[in-house]
Amino acid sequence: MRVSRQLYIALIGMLLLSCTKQLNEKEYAQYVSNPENGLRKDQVVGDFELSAMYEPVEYILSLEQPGDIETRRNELNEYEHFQFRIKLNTGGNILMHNETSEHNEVTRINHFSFMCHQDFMIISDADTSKCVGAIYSRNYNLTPTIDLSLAFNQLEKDENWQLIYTDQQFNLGRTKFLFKKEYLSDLPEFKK
Amino acid sequence: MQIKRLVITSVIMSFLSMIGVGLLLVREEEKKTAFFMSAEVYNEFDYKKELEQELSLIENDVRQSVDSLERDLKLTLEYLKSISPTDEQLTRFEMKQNYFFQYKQTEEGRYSEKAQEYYGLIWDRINGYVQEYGKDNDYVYIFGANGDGSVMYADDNENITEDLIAYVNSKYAGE
Repeated sequence: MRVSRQLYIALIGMLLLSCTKQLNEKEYAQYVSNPENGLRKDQVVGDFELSAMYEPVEYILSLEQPGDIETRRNELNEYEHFQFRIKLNTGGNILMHNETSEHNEVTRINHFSFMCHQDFMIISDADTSKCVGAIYSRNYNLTPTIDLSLAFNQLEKDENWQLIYTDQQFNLGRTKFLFKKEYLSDLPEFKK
Repeated sequence: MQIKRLVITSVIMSFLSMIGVGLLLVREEEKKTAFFMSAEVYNEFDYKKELEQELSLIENDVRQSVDSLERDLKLTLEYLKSISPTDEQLTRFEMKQNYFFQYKQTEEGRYSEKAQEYYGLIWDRINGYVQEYGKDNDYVYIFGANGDGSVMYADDNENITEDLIAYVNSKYAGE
């Protein structure tokens, strides 16, 4: 009787394990960037489209060259990672959009290179987390976008996260992106 | 024979045109329109509530600094009234008074500039969300009624104010 119960529990365990999604590199990229999976949120504000995409550690690992995966995983696990994009839908040089004396190209480059981490925060149930690092990937006007990699201290995945961006450069005001716990706590695994 | 053919052709033509008119009428009926009470949506919009709070903080700051300068000016005036002030004291007081008026004007200007900026941000966002709502729900027209006569009459069944308030707030929350 006891043996059959243990066997039953083991079978259930195996079944649950087999239910975890396992995706390869390409599938993972598609999964993360598909808004239906709740890890990417888009908002249109005037002429701009703002996109926030949560990057699970497994996803970042899937993009990187093979190496000491465990060490790298531990490093990445210290933070929550996001990609944030500001896109000018009308095209053209985004850094020169409605340029004024206080918002010219150079001040915008400086802002996104050194100060824009102050524009972001995450509210999760009761806590507020400030952005601890932002990296601006310059594209030298090849695309009308501002691309940022954001890092926040580790957050609980069984809570909803509301990423808040308060724009300082394009007069867009405040924009929010809600990442729901049901998506954050059900992330697929990376299949090597 | 030819007359018979002509009759048949004209019957077919009139039948087709009747179908055409019918289709046009049906299409006309399918055109969805609605209206919303714009002031109500504006007042219930969470972004407006947040910015209103921020604005009241700025207002408090401005009021406190202006009040403190005004108090100082009044005290100085009372003091000057109690003595026989020298010309230098009167000149200093005049300078102080000018500074106060200038400061008050600048600070009040800063406040109203901010209020204007916030008003624009709120309406820009509402307009964007109303457009998305219209597209999502296949509306041809959505009218904003604000009591100034832009919409003189509308059936209450076409009032989407409540739906729109829920929609703009969920959009703003990032859902």
